[in-house]
Amino acid sequence: MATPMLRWCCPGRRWIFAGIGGGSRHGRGVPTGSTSSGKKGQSSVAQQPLITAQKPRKGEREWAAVVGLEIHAQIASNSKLFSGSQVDFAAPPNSLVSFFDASLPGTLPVLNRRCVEAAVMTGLALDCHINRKSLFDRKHYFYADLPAGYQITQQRLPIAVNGSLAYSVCVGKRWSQMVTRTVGVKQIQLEQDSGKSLHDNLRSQTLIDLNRAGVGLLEVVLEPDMSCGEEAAAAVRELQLILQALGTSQANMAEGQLRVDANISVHHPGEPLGVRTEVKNLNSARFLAKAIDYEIQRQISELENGGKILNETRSFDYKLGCTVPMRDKEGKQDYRFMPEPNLPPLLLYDSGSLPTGADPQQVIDIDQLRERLPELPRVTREKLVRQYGMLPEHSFALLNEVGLLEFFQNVIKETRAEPKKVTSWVLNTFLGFLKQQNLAVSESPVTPSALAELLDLLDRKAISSSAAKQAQCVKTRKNSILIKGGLPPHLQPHLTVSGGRKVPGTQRTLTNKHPEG
Amino acid sequence: MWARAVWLGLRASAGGRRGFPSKAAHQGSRRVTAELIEHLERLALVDFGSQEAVARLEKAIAFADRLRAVDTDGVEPMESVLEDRCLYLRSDNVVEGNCAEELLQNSHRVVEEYFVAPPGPASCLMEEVLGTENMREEATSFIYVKSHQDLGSLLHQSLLLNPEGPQNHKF
Repeated sequence: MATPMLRWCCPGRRWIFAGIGGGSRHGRGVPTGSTSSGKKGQSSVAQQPLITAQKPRKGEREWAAVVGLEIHAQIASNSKLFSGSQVDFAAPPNSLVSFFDASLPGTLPVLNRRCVEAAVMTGLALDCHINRKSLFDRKHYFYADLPAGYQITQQRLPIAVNGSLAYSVCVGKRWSQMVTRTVGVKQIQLEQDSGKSLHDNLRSQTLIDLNRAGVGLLEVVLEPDMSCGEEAAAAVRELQLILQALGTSQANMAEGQLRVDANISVHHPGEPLGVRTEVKNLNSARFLAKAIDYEIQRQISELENGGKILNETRSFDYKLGCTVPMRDKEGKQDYRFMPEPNLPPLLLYDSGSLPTGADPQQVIDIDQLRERLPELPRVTREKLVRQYGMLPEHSFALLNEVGLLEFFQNVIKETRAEPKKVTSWVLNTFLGFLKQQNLAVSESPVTPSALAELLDLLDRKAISSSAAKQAQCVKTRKNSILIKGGLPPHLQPHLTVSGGRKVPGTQRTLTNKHPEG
Repeated sequence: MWARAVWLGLRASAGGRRGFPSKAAHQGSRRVTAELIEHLERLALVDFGSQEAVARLEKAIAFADRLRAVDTDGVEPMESVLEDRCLYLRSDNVVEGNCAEELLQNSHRVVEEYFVAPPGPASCLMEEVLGTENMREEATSFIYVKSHQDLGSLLHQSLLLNPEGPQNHKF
């Protein structure tokens, strides 16, 4: 091959930097083309040599990448973590700010019960050990959108530690080859969000909106058990689904409710870990994997060229598709942590240790919360596989789209068709149709009942599958399905439009490319 | 904790907490270097304008150092004087906010309903870190605002350790 190719094999957690010209050709950029093609080209990595008929050059060895994540999720609560002002995404600037949020002297933090429950529930869902006693600290730094000059967080003794998060990645070419991986959850802590700073270019000034200041955040720290962007993205996606299922956070990355920072380093397997860099500003699900992979490649290129990796903070530039250093001449930041003097330790109880005669409003029972935990995505998927005999990847697809699972279950309820058929129809034809029309499930002109009806017809072989597909695709006003084409007479009177209204007297025919009796 | 930063250099001589560390061993490592002063000034936004100020700082540290004479082996550190109190849990109701007008009155400059960040390096910095608000923590290393605090006296007052009483030295 004339062009140097970058390949790696994620499942084996090995990164191979192999090229005809060695490292020098790649310079600073990453040939993003090879990124995707490299991955898709790998089927079973272990057996296939990466570059056929080419021996690895002298000095080229395998690289392993290590990725750890810090995820900040905004807690879905009515009011903020330490004050009674409202939590809302869109509101007039500085209208959701209390005196405490503005850090006026004489104000004190008062902990929100709902935020503590959210943290405990998330900890339980991630199999963490819940610390019966946790402490609050101040993390000091100066910035215009942090009026107090410090952030209240839980650095010394967070609320939950030592959990794990199971996620699935697809290995190989097909979506069907999925493996489950686990990443350790180092800790979960409660902390305050900061305000928003907006830069006014015209007048060269910075505008501050404190609506977001003081909103409760869950910081989930994932151990560096991941080895590439795809694994990191899959882990974040699973965490997103868990948080949404629990109701503890809406975890919408686009609205800034879920923010991810990545710690990335590379090393040769068997050797000590390399210097790590921190990549911030990863606020888009789409670019998360790309950014991490870019940084891994950058580090590999740098080291292959004899350079060194600095322990720095970098930011991902979406437009350029690369990470850029944030100026950090001073090395590590010193946050001068100190205990928060205004908050006593947070004590949690379980059914065995509940103090007698205590006000239930003032006491949090971990066991009670555990009982009330909603069904986790992992369990939902297992149930789907068991109940309907679908493949695991189908269960993933059903949970991956908002509202799709509910739609599917409603169709199942009303149709006589086989679950497998329903699954296939919903995931392929229906979802494909929605994607093509750029619609969300909630905006679908086809209702579950209509689809159920259609599938019934299909089941009875009254219509052909191609006709049914066409029927689904033709939409009219008022959510009704207009079915065109030839229809056997004995079925005409039974045909109803979605919504149950029969339109009498209208000749309805079904286009039938394959005439059936 | 700024004191901890200074004591980094004292680790060698202060291995254990027992006994009174010898004066000789302490003397050399107690020096507060110029880089450290710069670092502290950036972190805490205070102004060590002169050598006198630095000398006073060194004396204050040496005085507080005597705490190390106490044997604290096996004793749990007290994190908060409130450790026996109950942490009150508030119900998740919206009871505050909607006082933008009042709050904005506190600000020197206001644009529509936004606070305008105080002028200085912080604002200039924002120009360079355009649109990426997550860079805030790194940006603080460049904030260098001079404030005229009488650090030494404040230290004495808060530590309540100075037997001579608070001094009114100007830095």
